[in-house]
Amino acid sequence: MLRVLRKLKECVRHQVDVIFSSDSVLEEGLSNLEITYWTCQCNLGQFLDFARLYVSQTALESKITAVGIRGPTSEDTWCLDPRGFLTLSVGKETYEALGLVGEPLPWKEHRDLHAIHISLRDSCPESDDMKTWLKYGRKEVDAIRRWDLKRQHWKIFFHCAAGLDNMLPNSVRHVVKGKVQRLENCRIPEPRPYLAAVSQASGNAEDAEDWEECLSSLFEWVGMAALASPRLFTNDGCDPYIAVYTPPEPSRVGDITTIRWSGFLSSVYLDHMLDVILSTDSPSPSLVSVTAQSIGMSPVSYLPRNVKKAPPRRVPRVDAEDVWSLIFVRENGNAWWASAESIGQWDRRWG
Amino acid sequence: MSYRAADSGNKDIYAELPLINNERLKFHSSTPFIPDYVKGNVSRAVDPSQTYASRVEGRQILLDNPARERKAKKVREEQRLKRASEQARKAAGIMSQEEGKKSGVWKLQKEETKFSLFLPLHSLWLGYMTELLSLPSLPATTGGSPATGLPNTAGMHAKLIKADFHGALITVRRSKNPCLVGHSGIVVHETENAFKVITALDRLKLIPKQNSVFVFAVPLYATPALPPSTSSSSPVPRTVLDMPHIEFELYGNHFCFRAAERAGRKFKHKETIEL
Repeated sequence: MLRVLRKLKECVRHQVDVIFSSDSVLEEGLSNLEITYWTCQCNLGQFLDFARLYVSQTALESKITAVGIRGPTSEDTWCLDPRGFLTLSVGKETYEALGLVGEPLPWKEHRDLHAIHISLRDSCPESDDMKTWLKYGRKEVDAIRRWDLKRQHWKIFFHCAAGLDNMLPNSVRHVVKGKVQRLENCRIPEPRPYLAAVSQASGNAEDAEDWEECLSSLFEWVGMAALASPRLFTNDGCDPYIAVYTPPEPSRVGDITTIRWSGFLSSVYLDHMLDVILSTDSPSPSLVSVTAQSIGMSPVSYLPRNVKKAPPRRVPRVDAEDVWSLIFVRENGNAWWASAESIGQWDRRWG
Repeated sequence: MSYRAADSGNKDIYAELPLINNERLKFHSSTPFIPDYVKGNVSRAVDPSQTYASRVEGRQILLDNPARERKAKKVREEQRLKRASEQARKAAGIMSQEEGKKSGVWKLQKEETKFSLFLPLHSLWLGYMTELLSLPSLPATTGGSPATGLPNTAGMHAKLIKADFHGALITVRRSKNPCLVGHSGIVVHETENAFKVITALDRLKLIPKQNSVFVFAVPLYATPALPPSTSSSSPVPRTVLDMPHIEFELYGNHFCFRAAERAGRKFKHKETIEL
């Protein structure tokens, strides 16, 4: 299960919601988690000179991740992923003037957008599926310098796991603490029927369909809890002809705690969250869900396990959909988990 | 005069005309046959004489297909014209494309591919630009804002578009092919679809004009031919970029013509300048 968890957390997230049936120990453990990131406004060249100090040449993961955005009207954006690779997503005009070889996005509506992959390490990965990798050399430095001369500064969000010796000028440190919200007297689904469904899911198509229906209702409940929907309350007196939603049965009455972090959330913090959740001995049965949304404007939202493989292409946009949700249930020494991902249009994550 | 239509049947057309009223048919030049015949038979016209005078008199009518020229004669004529043009070309000293390729006139040897060897050509081009654009001479006082010294560029565009670019220093500013962006050099040969430039790293590059936007610089002030390189204490400006200059953009898609053709061509205004 940890392998799945680590696969899911391998990129920066914009918002993370953790929902669980109220448990003071778990709540304390998660509330104490402080997330730090920095923002600054500077040139890309200047930032890369700073970032290269923290890009590891040997380790799989580097200590620095970043995303650069120009504004809602500009289609140019870039990100520096934890492996030390810079991915630029640029429009037609910028690509024709930049002089760096990239690849166009495969969708007809976004043919003008190009993705350029530059390695800040001393070595480049092998070419994979006609993807062209560039090494950050003199030509790339000149191209980025010319680009910086033409345009205004970037708004950069970054996180560095190592201690920062020389900080960029005008950097602002942000500390994000989770916003805790408690919902009392809510319907919480009983995990036992889902456990049974899991054990029967290996059977015929009907069982598989039932299992899917069970789980989709469970994930729907998680979404409603994240929204603090009044439909979950036991004393909800909404007209049944208007409110379509009913919590899945069987359910018990209890309190729900929701903790939300918003900002530039590095995968390091997701790691901490999952460690806290897995290590806390919550009263049985315990149901914990973690839902994470990616940064829509980032050209990269998912990293494959193999360092040599390029990340799947996507169109960076403000309203891009890229959410994963994980449910972890523990009861009487047994545990099971389920995860669901929702990917929007123009994303090659699934092909 | 009247006549009788020939009887039906097989008659020898070269036989003598039959007698009419036991008299041979006589034609007189004072009373020609055709006018009378036409006028007599144009019954619908209001004025037959007028009709004859306007539509028949003086006209030549082909009664049969003209004789075709013999093929051999045609071939001989073509060969004669070809020989004549070759002789005229030889007399003028023009080399054909094949001869040029065979003799390697357009190829540079390795020892000739040096940027420094083409600097005098660039210097000549600067002098050419000075004359073409009638650039002012360098002011005596160097003070004052740079904006006051800028010439009026409105009239320069029409002259530059017809100018010769051999010796100009051009740079690729934008291109659909990202590998070409940034290439810069002195133009050693301009063809219809490409520039052959020699870069500062002594490399000969062939840059297609299509789908590229070039930038070239023109000196701001009158520039005489650069002095030969001698070891002097003050650094001698080597190219136009080392002196006050103005940059112009050149859209390759609209520039795909030979230099000789461009001189007499009328360039139309184009709405789109996208690559």
